[in-house]
Amino acid sequence: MVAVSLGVLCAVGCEQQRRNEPARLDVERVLGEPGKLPGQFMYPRGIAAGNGQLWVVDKGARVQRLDPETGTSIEIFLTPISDQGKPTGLTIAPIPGDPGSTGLYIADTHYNRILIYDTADEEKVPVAQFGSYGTGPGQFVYPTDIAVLTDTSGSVERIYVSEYGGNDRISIYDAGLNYVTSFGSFGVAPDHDEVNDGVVFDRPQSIMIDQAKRELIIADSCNHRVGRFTLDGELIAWLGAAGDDEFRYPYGLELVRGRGLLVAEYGGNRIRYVDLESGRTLAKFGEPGRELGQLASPWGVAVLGQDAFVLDSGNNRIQVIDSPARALTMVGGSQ
Amino acid sequence: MTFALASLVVGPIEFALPVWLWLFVPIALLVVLIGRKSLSAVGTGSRRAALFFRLLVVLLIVCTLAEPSLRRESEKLAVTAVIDMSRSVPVQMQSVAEEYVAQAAEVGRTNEDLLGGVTAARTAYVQSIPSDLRTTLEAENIGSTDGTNLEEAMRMALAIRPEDAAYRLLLITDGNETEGSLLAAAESARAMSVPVDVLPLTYRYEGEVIVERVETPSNARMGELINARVTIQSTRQTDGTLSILINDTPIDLDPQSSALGVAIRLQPGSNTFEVPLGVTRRGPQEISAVFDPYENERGFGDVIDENNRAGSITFFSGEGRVLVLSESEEESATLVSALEAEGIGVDAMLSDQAPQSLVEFNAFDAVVLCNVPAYSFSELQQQAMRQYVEDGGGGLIMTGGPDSFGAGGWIGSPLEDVLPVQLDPPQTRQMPRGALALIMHSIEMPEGVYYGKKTAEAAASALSRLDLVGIIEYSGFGGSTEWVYPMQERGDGTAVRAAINNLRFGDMPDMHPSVQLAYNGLLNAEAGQRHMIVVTDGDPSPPSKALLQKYVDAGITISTIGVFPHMGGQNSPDLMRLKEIAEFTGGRYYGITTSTQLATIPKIFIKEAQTVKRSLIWEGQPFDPTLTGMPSAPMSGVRAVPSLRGYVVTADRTDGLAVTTIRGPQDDPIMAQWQRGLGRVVAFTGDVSTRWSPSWTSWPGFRSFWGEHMRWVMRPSGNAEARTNIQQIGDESVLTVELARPDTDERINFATIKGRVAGPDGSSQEVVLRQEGPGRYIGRFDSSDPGSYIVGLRYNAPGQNGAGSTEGSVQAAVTKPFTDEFRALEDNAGLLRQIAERTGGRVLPAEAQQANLWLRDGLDMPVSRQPMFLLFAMIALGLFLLDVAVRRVRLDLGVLRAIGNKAFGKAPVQQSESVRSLREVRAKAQQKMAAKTEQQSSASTSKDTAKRKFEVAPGEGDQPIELAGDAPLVNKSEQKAQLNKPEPDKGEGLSRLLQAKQRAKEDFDKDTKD
Repeated sequence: MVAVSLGVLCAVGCEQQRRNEPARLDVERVLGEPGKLPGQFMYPRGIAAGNGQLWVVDKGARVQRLDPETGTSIEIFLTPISDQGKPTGLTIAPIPGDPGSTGLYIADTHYNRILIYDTADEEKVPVAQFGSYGTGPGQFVYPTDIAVLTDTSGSVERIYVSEYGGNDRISIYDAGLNYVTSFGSFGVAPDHDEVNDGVVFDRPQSIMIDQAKRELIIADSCNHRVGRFTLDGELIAWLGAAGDDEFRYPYGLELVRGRGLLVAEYGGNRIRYVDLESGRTLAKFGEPGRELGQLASPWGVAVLGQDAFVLDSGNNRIQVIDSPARALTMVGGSQ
Repeated sequence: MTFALASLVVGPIEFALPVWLWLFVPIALLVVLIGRKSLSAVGTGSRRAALFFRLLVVLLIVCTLAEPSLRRESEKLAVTAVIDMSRSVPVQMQSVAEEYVAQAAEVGRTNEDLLGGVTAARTAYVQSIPSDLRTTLEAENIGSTDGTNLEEAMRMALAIRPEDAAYRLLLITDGNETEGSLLAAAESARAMSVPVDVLPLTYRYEGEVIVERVETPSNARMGELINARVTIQSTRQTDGTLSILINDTPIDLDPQSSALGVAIRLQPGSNTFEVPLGVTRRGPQEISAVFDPYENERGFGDVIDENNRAGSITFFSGEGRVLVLSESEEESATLVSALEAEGIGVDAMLSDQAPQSLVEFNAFDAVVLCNVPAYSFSELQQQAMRQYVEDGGGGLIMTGGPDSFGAGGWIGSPLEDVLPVQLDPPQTRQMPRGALALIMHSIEMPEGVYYGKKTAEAAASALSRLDLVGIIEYSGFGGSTEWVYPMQERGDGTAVRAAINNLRFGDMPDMHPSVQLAYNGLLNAEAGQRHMIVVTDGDPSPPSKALLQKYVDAGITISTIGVFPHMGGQNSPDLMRLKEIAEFTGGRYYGITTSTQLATIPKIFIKEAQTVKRSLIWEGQPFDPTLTGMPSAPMSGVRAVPSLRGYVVTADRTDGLAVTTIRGPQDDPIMAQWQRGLGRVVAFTGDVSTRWSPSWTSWPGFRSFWGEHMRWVMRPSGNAEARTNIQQIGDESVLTVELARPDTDERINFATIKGRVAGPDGSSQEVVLRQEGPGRYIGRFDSSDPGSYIVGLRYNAPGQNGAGSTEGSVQAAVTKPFTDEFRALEDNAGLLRQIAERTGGRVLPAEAQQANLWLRDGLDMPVSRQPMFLLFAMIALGLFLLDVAVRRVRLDLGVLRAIGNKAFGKAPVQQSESVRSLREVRAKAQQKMAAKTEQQSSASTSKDTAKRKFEVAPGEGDQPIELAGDAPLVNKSEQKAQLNKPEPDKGEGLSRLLQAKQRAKEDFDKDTKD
C-alpha cells in the first residue's frame, strides 16, 4: 500500500513537472482577510515592500502598513479623496531631496496624480503631489505606478510614471518633480507597426527600475508582455513567449537578485519567475482558485527580506511564499 | 480514556472503528500459542522478545484497522451576534444593542476568539463572518426594516459557524417576529449543540396610535355620496389631526379652517369617525385616512409613524372608457377618431403618460397599445397590464407596426402570454434572422451582478428563437475573454438563461480581445442583421481602430452603454471613447450616470435587441388578407377587409383557445382574439396608420370594424346589481358578493362567478366563490402582505323566466395598510427566555460587562483529527522485520566493538583480540557442526526426523548465523570444499532428503517387524 501510494504521488508529481504546470503556492503564511477592519482587505490592488516595511492599498482607498510576519495593521490611513476611484499603485523609495527618508509613492489613479508621503509622518499628510487630468506634458490619465531612480547616495534622480486610459505612456520627471519627457502611446500590439510607428502600450500597469543595470522594466499588461527599456525609453527587448505560455495580463513586477523578475499575472492567476537577460521563464507558481496556495486575479507581488508577498486580490489576502523567494533577495527597483 | 459515540479516545488518539480492537484478544492468544511451539528452539530472551514484537505487531495492525487519528481539541470560541434591526425595536435600543456587543466582547476574550455579526429585519444579512479581528458589529446594509425574520437570521448565523471553534449565538431582539419561526431555528441550534444566549430588548409603548382601518363601500356610482368610516386605536388620550386623501390628494374636511384636516381628540381604546365623501371620477379611487399627532404628543402619545395611515379602494361606476396609448398622436389618430365616431369614450395618451399601477389601469374598460414597443413601459407597468387583463377583466388590443409584437421587444415580456398570437415564430417558419453579441462588463457599476444578469436576460429574451445570440465576458479565473454563451440560436432560452446565471463578472482590463471575439462570432453568423452591445464603465482599454474598421467593413454595428465612469460624469473621457466606438460603427451610445438612468438599462438592452429584430417585419407588395370564417362575434358582419402592405410576423397559438380570424401570406395571423383570465384580448399585426394600411384608413367599414372589436374586448358593465364586501380577518380576506336583478331586486341564484385577485407584489390568485344563501356568494383569499388587493369578478347567471343569461363584471378591493411589524406595542421576552432554555443558553444581564460572552462551560470544543493509520502500519511493518531479525540475526557485541574500533582507528592489540575471538567462535561452530552430524546420524531412529528438518536444533538458534561487517564465519577451506561439490546446495539437500527418506523407511520396516 505504501509503495503504491508513493508511486502514485511520484507519478503525479513527475507528470506535473513534465508538463511544466504551475502548482499551488507553497504558502508559508497568509496575511489579511476580507473586511473593512484594520488588517482586513477590500480587494487590495497595490503592494510595495522596502526598508523593512510592507504597504498595501485596497479598493476602499485604505493604505495600510502591515506587520510582515503577522499581518497586523501597524498604521492605516485614507487617501485624501476617493469618490471617483481608488489608487492602484504603491512604491517605496526615498523622498526627493531627502536621501535617507522612506517615502511612500501612491498612484492616485482616478484623481490623475501622484501622492508622496513620508512614512515617518504620523499625520500622513502628503509631502508632495504632482499631476492633473489631461494628455499634455505633466498631466495624467489614470496613472498606474511609479518607479524611482536613485543615485549611489540614495538621492532621487528621476521619477517614472505609467498611465493608461487611452493615454498609455511613461512620463519622466526630475527630482524637482518637473516634467522631463514621455514615451510610448496607446496601441494594441498585434495591430500596430511598432518598428515604424514607435512603441505602444496597452495599460502599462507596473514599472520597476533595475538600479544596478539602470534599466526600466514595464509590464505592458493588456499586450501581455514585459519590456526592458533604457532609462531614456529606448526599447531593449520584449519578454513574453507566444502561444499558451505567454504572459496573461502581467500586472505586478518585483525585481530580485541575479536579474530575476517576479511577475504577478492578473489573468494567469500565477506568479512567474523570469530571467530578465534571457527572457526565459524559470518557474511558475500558483493556480486559479480560492484555496490556500491558489490565486484569484493577483495584482502584485513584493519581496521583503526572504519572503515574497503575493497580493491575492480576488481572495482579499496576501499569501507569503517560502520558495523560491527564500533564495531571492530584492535588489534595485524601488526599495 | 473516554468513549464517544462509536469511537474510542485513548489520550490524544481516537479510534473511529474501535470494534476492530477486539480482534487483538483472539489473535494475541493465537500468536502466543503458535509462538510457544515455533519459538521453542529459540533462546528464552529471544523468544520473549520475538513474542513481544509479534504481539506489538498484532496490536498495531488491529489499531490500524480501527482507523486511528491524532486528536487535537480546539480552544477557540466563536460568538455570532444576531441583532434585530427591524422597526418594532425602538431606534434608540438598536444602537444600545451594538454597543452592548462591543463592550461584552471585550471582557474575557482571548486572542483566538472570533466575533461575527448577523442582522435581522425583513431579510437577514451576514455583516461579518466570525473573525478574530472584529471587535464591533458595524452593521451596513440591513435591507427593509418593515418586517422581522429571526428564523432566517438564526439559520444564517448557524451556517457561518467556523469549523475549528466552539460556537455560541447571542440573540438581541424584542422577540417580535412577522415571518418565520424563531422556535424552529432554535431547534436547529439545539440539534447542532449551539447554545443561544439572549438579550431581550424590553419595552412597552405607553402611548401609541394606530389607524386600524378605513371602510368604504366596494362599489358606488360616480357622484354618489359615500361614507368613509375610520377606526383609530389609541392607548391614551391623544390630540391630533385627521386627514382624508383620495388618490393621495388631500380633501378639505373643514372649510372653515385654513387646514385641510380636522382636529380630533382620541380617547383610550377604539375611536370611530365617519366622513362623507363625494367622488366625481370614474374607476377605482383609493381613499386614505392619516392621523397626525400634535408635536407635543410625538414620542409620548404616538411613537410609530408607519401605523398612522390606512386606506381602502372604492370602484365608482360610470360610462365605460377606453385608453389608447401610442408613441405619437399621429400613430393612433385614425383609430381614436373611429372609436369616438362609434360613441366610445376614448382617452388618448402618449406611452410615457401611461398609468403606473393596476389601480390606475382599472379606471378603463379597455386599453389599446398602438404600435408601442415594450421598452416604453416599465416591468411593473407591463405586469400591471397583465393583471389588468387576467385578474381585472379589462380588455386589451395590440395593433401592429415596426415597434410592436416581436419587433417591439414584447417577446419574453409579462404581456406576451396574454396575447392571442405567438410572438416568436416557430423554427419551421423560414425568415431572415438576426445575430446579437453581448459584451458584459458590469462588475464596476452599482449592483453590477444584478444588472448584468438582468440586462443580458432582457436582451436575450427579446429575441426570437431563430435569432442568434452570443455572450462574452472576461473570466477572472481563466484570465481570458471567452464566450459564456457561444453564438447560436436562442432556442427556447433555457440554455442562454443558464449561461447568464453562470456569468462570473470578471473585471475586464481591455476590450480588444472581447471585441475581436465578438467580431469572429458575428462574421461567421448566418444572419441578416448583426449587432453588438457593450456594457462597461469605460475603464477597460479600447479596441484598436483597425478592429473597429473591420466591423464597419462587415456592416456590423456596435452600441455602447457606459455606466458610472470613474470621473467626469457624462463628459468622462471613458464615456467619450465609448461614444466614438458607437458612432464609428453606426450604433448608438448611452451614458448612464445616475441611479434613475441605471434602472433603464434593461429597457435599453431590449431596445438594442430590436436592432436585429427587423427580420420579424414583413413588408412588400399589398396583399389581400383572408378571412378564416372562424366564429367570432366582432367579425360576424365582416365579409372582406382591405389590403395590407406590411405586418409583424407572428404565429398561431397552440396553447389556448385563440381564434385567428384574418390571415396573411404563409397563413401568418393578421388578426386573432381570445379570452385570457377574466379579460379579452385582440391582436392585429397590421397597423392602423397609412404606413401599412392606407386602404384600411379610407375603408368605409374601418369605423364599425374597430367599434365592434372594441366593444367585444371592453369589460362588461353588467345588467345585474352586484354588491361586494371584503372583510379582512388576520391574513385572510373574506369576499362576499350579492347578486340581484336591478329592476325587481330579485336575488340571482346559481350564478357562476369567476374571481381573480391581483396582489400588491404582482402575484395573482384565483378566488373560488360558493353560494351560501339566496343570491349570496362567499370566497376567501390570502392577503397577508401589506398593500392593495384588487379583486376582479365576472359572473354569468341564468336569465329570468328562461330569458337569456345575465352577464357582467364587478371589481372590489381591500387594502392591508401596514405590516404587523408596526402593530407590536411591547416586547416578547417570554419567547426569548424559552429559546435560551431550549438551547442551553443564558438570558444575559443588561450590564454588558457582566455578560460573560466568552463562556466556554458546557460547550463541545471542536476536534481536528489527523489520520494515523499509515503511521501505525509503517511501525507494524518495522516491528515485523525486527521480529524476524530477533530470531534470525545474532549480534555479537564484541565483534561490533571490534568493527567500531577498526573504523575509528584504535590499537592493533584490540584487532588481534578480535581475530582471536572470531577464531574461538569459528572453532565452536565447527564443534557444533560435528556434533550436529553425529546427532543427525543417531537421530535416524527418531520418529520426528522429517519434522526436525524444518526447525532449528535446540541451542542452534543461539549461534550467530550472519554477522554484519567484514568478518566471515566460514573458513576458506570449507568454502573451497563446498565449491568443489557439483551443485552443492541442491545436491546436498537432495541427498539429505533421500537419506532421511531411507532412514524413515528403515525405521518403519523395523517397527513393523517388531
